[in-house]
Amino acid sequence: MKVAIEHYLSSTYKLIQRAFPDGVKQEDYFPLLALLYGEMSDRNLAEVMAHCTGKDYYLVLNDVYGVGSIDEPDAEAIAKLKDRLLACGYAEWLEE
Amino acid sequence: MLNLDTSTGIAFISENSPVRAQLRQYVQGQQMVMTQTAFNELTNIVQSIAGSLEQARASRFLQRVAVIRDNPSVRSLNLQITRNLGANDIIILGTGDQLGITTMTADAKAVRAISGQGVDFSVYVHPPCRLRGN
Repeated sequence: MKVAIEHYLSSTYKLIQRAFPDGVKQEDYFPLLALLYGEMSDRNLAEVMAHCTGKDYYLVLNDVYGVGSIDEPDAEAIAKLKDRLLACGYAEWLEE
Repeated sequence: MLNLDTSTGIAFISENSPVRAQLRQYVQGQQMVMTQTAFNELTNIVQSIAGSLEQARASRFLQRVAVIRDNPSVRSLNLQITRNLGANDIIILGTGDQLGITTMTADAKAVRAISGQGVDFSVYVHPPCRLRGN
């Protein structure tokens, strides 16, 4: 049974749901982590991404540490993904 | 005495960690502690991801770390949980604050969120590092 998302993560969850109604594909997973990395605490980002993807929280938390390190993801993939999120309310989310 | 966040423990343990030398230099001669919450997170990540080299390093590392009970300061418990600051962030950093010691962490965002709420903890922020499964 899926545990309800915490209220302070609900807008992020909804943003991701709007941008990826069929779920986050593996090819979008790391660029999405990288895009949101600067806007959320590591644990909160891991929690919401684990919720959205069904991945284990601790695996995602380790991936969050990875995207914040010197292993930088593809800038082109991040830019493409940002355009997708902008069409789904990313700018408004940033302003919250 | 230094309070280590989960991310710091991971940076110590990770194979080919580019920040381990920097962290070792900083903690030299000081007692390292981890809250129960950080210890639980660290051991879960290690059990899920670490390969044999990282598991062995984790065992050696944890022999040098004392696990302490979660005991966040009153002012930390007054912080508002937001998307930039989670409940466990408050427990771990707040326990360091209660003890009057520096907390080491890779989560600069959580630290900025705390400062943004008008509270400043003693922190040492370092680059993050992930376990590699080696």
